[in-house]
Amino acid sequence: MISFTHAFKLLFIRALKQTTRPIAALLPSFFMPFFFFVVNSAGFKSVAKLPGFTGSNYLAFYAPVALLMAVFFTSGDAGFEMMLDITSGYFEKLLLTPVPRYAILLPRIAAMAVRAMAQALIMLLLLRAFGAPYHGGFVGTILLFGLVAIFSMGWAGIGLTLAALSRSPRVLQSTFVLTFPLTFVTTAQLPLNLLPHGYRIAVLMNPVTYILEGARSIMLTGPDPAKVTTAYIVALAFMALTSASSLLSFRKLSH
Amino acid sequence: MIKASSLTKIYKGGFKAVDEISFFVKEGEFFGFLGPNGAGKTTTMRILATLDRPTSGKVEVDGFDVVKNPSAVRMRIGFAMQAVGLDDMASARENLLLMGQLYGLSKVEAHKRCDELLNLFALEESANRFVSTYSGGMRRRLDVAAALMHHSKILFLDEPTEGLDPAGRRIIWKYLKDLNNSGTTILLTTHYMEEADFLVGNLAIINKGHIVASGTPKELKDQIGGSKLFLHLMEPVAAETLICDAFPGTTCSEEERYLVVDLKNGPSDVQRIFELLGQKRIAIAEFEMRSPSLEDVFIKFTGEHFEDEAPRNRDPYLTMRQR
Repeated sequence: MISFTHAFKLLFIRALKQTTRPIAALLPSFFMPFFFFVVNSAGFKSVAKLPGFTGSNYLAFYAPVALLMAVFFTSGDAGFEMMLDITSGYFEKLLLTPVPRYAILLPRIAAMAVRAMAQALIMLLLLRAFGAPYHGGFVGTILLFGLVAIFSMGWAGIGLTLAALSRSPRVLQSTFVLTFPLTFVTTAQLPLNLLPHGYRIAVLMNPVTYILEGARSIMLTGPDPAKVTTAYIVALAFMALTSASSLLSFRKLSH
Repeated sequence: MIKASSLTKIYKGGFKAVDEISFFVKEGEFFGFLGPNGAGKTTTMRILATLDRPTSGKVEVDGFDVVKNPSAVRMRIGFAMQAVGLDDMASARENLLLMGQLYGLSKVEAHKRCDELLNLFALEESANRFVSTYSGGMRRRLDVAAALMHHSKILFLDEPTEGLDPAGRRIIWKYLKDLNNSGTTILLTTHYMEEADFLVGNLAIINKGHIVASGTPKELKDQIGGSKLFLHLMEPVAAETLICDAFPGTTCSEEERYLVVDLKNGPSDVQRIFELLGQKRIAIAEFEMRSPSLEDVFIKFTGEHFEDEAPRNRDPYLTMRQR
């Protein structure tokens, strides 16, 4: 059996290539968040004048949502890529090789984190070019990209779990609808204090809220220790949960 | 080298794909499973390659139990599956290099082997193109090449020439013969009679999950009877009497326009029959010699016709025909 690290390296490079081919397939993960950013930041501009609204303007308030949305769209591809391997028969080819089983799955998650960070960087530059402020500084940037990586691995785990369990592209496709409630049943459009009571409960139950608040604090004011710590704890717990489920379902798939 | 005892596989829903089969493949042997679609060949192969688990029975590959020690089995085998499995968004070269390295070849070794196989399977010119642009035949050749990357001790080939044109098939046959001669143990499944006849040393005929006959192709065909000579003559009745008198024990019969002579001594009788007919000035319009085929063997042991999807042209090794 070849070593885990060697197999991981080989399959990580392959996963990185797979996730960027064809290049045109990367565009929707930029287009959709940017579209929402432009439309919402213009359409809800006057929200910034509401009493109790925290932040300088709505464009700045909404920019972290666009960033997180890009990560959502990117990480969702992990399941689709695995599904492609399953339906094309390539996955069984990998199972036949004498590599540790988890060296087949984990590089895919790691590659997704790298791609998410690269896309987050491009998105950040794009948002800056359109006037979104950024006050993260060096430490904040490291923390932001760390958060993006962890969250992307967590979201990738959901796609991978469903791909392994269902082996059905249609079931996997249905995860797309989860993206919207998870993104928007948060403080994406309004600060928590401006949300109606019932809705606020739903928002507080959504883990993405805390991750968004952490990212927002980094981008708008520089890292707020309490919000960033909470974001990291939630993101790590989310990642641990979905990674465990993807590993278990992968184990079932590969015997 | 490969030993299966009472191997059974029952899928969910109760379908019994393989039913208590046992077989043994010696080291260096070229062994074949011949049978129609759905006979249980692929299921057996997948169990041997550790992709599926048996419901019951025991299987060992190179001394390792496929259930208890699948990693050791995987180290020793190469497997070209029935369904082509390639990374479509990678080039042929990338596919081969990754497979080679995942089986432990160094980068240098993998590159060298990759070049050899691309050349052998006539894929050098398209080596850097994405596999998604390949034709079905090219994909099949690449898939077989991927299974050959790491010089495995044992090679499993599940209908490896399915969908290939005759030229592509011959290239693979020749390579597999050479590979087997150099010591690789090969287990092949096929529903092409010609392929089994040309390649394998020993074969098992499998039908509906059971092995119904096994032996060398010759042994199996000998159980059917000897070769037959089909003669289209100008004076068939005279010739029939002549031949039967000259070769006691030989039986002659008529089939459509042919006089069919059952050759008791095999092809050596043919020249003597021609000499005899020549002496009596009986003109031969057409002749054909047929050896029993594996299809005949299959029909004998199963009572069914083989749904062979191979081209119907007979193999030149089996048939002589002159007009």
